[in-house]
Amino acid sequence: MAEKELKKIVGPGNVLTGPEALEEYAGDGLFAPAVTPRCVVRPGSVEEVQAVVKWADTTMTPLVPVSSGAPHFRGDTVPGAAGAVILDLKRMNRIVRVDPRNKLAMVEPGVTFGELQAELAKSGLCAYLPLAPRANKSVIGSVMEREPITFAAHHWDSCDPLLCAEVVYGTGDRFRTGEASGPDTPEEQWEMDRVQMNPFGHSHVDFQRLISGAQGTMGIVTWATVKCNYLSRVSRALMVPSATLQPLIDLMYLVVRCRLGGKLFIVNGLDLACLLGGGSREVKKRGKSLPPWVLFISFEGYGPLPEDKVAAEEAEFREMAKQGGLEPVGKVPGATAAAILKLLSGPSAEPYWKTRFKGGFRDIFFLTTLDKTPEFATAVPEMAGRYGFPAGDIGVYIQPIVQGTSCHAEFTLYYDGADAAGTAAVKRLDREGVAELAGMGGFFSRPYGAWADAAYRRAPGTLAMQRKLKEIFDPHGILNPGKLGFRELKAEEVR
Amino acid sequence: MKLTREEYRALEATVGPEYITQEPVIMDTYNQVWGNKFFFDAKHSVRPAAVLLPASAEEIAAAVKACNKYGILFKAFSSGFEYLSLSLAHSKGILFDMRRMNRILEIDAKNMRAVVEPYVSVYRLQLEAARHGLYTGRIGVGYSAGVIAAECCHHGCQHTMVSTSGYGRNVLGVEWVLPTGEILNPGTGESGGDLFSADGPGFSLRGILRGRTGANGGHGVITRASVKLYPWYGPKEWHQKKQPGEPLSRGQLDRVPDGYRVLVPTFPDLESQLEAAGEVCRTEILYGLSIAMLATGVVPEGNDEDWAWARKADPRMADNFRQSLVLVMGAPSKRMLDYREKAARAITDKWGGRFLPEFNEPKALARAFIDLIWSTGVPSLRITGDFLPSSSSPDGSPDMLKRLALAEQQIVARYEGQGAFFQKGKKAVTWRPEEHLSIGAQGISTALYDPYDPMSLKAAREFIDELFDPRGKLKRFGVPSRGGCLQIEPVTHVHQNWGHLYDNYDVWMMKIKKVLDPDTVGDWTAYIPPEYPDYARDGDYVLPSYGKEEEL
Repeated sequence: MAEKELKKIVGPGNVLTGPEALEEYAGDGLFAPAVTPRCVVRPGSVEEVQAVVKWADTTMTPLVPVSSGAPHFRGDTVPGAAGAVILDLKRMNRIVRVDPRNKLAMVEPGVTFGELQAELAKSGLCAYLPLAPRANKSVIGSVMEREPITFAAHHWDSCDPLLCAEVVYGTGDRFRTGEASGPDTPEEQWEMDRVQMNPFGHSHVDFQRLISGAQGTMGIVTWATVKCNYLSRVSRALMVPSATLQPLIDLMYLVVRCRLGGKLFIVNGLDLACLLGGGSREVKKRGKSLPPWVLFISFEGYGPLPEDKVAAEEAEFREMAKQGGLEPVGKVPGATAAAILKLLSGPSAEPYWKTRFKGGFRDIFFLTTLDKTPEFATAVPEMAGRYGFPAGDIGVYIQPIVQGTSCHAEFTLYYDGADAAGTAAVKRLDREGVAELAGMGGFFSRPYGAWADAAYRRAPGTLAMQRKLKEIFDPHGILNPGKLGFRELKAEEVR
Repeated sequence: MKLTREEYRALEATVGPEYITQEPVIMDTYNQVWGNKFFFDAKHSVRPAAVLLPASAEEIAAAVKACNKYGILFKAFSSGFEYLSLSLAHSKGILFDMRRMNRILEIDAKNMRAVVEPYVSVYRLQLEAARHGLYTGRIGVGYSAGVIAAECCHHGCQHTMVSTSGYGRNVLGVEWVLPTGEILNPGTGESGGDLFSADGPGFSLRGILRGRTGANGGHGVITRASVKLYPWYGPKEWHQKKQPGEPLSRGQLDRVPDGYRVLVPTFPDLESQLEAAGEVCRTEILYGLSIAMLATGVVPEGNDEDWAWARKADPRMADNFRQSLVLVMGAPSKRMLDYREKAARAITDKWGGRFLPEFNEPKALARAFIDLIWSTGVPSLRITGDFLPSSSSPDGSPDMLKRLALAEQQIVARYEGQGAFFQKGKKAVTWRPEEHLSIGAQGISTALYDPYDPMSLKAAREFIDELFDPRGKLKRFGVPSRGGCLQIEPVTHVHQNWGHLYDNYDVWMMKIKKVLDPDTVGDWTAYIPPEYPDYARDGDYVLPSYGKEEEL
């Protein structure tokens, strides 16, 4: 019955019910309990999205929005309970507009970073990327989830690079955030040079913040505009190797304070080895030869004097490093800065870089400040040891965000799914370890799966307010129930 | 309307008898600000029933609970620049004067943020932050503006937004007394950590804290906030000197500090000026930018002198003013400054700019620097004592802002031609870039009128009605609805007139207001009313209601 009604909305070919199709959405590895959806619906327009949402609202059917391709890793796209319908947005895959003058692009949810990057290059632009995203990662999926970008100097706000968005709320109402709001279509707005650029508002409320980091629980984004950057005409990159993390953190503070350079982050040797490619054996070998810690920085040349810009920034950086007794280099055994820079210009080559070492991986990430990262970098391996997980199989990635006022600290547990003990340890770390890290001050601002327990235990006021707001925008709780602090729909509620 | 003895005592118990008053003379010092004549047809807006001076979030929470119990409106007030800060929907309303909460609680120099209470001004934070090599953005309305007022509660645009952002994007944490009396600490504040993020867990409650504009006291009281700071390349202490003929408040520097350089190029026409401005922003070399707003000359001390100066200004000089830019560059080293200056000069050359000696001599550059980087107030208020931030100072692409400014100038010119507005001569187009222009810019357009000249006042209202009527020429810009300075809901009916055209944002806002403030005790005049009053209409258009001072 449901499938029949949905077929009327999106067309018969866009409602999938076959076991193989459903299996793709039923789980994402170890961490979310596998739940097979009722069907998969693939809308092709905002009107179809609205119609599906209204249908789900009427029938009290859980709706799980998905925009990136499989496999998924964080549990947010796995149904919380039986009877859910997957709203797969990959058919909505147009790059609607590239605006080189204002350095922005309007994309639909099915557009991947690889597709966007190729299109932007034609206009002399490039996208702000997270660290080597997987090839089928949706741009909107990443941006709406506040995934950090590597271009630290251009990360002003936690929502960057999001500008404006069109969203369908749980009521089926359509809303456009920021400057995009208004009676005219985007095309008509362009005639007035309204290019959906300014993210503020509308009016006294910043509606886009209510859908960012929401894991699809507050609305379904059907297009968004995102900031882009100039494609560098000249670029150089350097690495600063170090046996310990602290000196690199000290250097990082100097660099972010004056917004020097372009892509900027710290990784440990294992993460760098995985990024650089190769199979498990190669990663292992390279990981041993690489320095324990590396700060990576690029200098991006654009504007009227690209050579001068790069030269000045590089000289400045070298001087800062020297002050801290560090030596920037273009090459270390097993890696060149130029090769890393190339890798960072697009999505990860296949296989996805985090699967290269052991096949399985689990990211544990949170926000903290740069000065606290050495403490976490010591604590996580110690904790892993207590849970029986090898400290040497942990990757570390530290990304300054919001102009260096905080950072994203990501610990990747590389494991082999066939290794029962290792897998069990990862599962325990994923729940109990996360609670410990939250207790140390790690802020789980994007709590996926079981992390929500640890995060919301420390945020009861936030949760209470979020639940009230959720009732406004999704009064029947049909949008991705069971995620964040929002409850599942009970079986008897689903009509 | 007076409070009953019981109501007064309940409020008194929260702050103590020394810190509450309902003396009429004192009350009247809280309801006289510019703009009152325009909106309320009176020198005063609604007189508050009492003013409280709380010292803590807990005191405010207790008083707010009393407001809920007795149905008393409340609003918090710190620096109080305009009618938005002080307007009350009716006189059974109190004001919290936040002057006792005036501490800079923390400067985390390493992580570039400060935690402040509501009565900390931009001026104080700038002085203190400079000692740590840090800086907080320069607020358009002047150095006495409260940091929290600007970042969390009101409009909050800044002249340095090109490098210091603005409009709430610098907020990293808040302590917020909700209209129910509950205290909310979104983000890391609630989890017991340093206030470095207000986003999450999950979606960000900064979304209801403020939008393009703040809630203007409509959804509770922000009792502390953590805000981003930015690098400061100047001296740790400001050394300003009073110049002959200038008040100390307009004190000057002898020269541009070593960590900065200032250039003032002048361009042959509007097109080249704005193209150069756009390019120099996108080149990411600026610390501050001013378009067509120069302050390279000595500022007259008195308003009359200022008026005389404006009248006798050499028109050729005025043309040069209009077609100039002030480019302020800062950097940690000579090397970086050299690169930035070289890039700025290359862009100037490309667009035919030149450096007029009178704008580029050292004293003039130092004046331009201090005017742009330090907060020196709103010159528009000096000429007639009032002004209209006409089309609500919208944000968007520079091309849109130029198009809008030129369209609006045609309308302004009509009123100037009638003698109703002060004639500023040929028009300039100006905007304030945000984050290297990566999120657009804020347009600035003002109309100067005399609120105590009946003809000028009438014209000012007709002008705003013309701009704010969604059936009018500016409809497709939609700017009044985006949240500017002239939304005062018992009068201009912006939400009511524009909401249905703009995805019904007002309906969502009303629902949010209801969630935050179920008893409607947070004053809503500059936020959103619980429901729209039944005002006179012309078709769908709700006619403005100037002069409606008291609603109950």
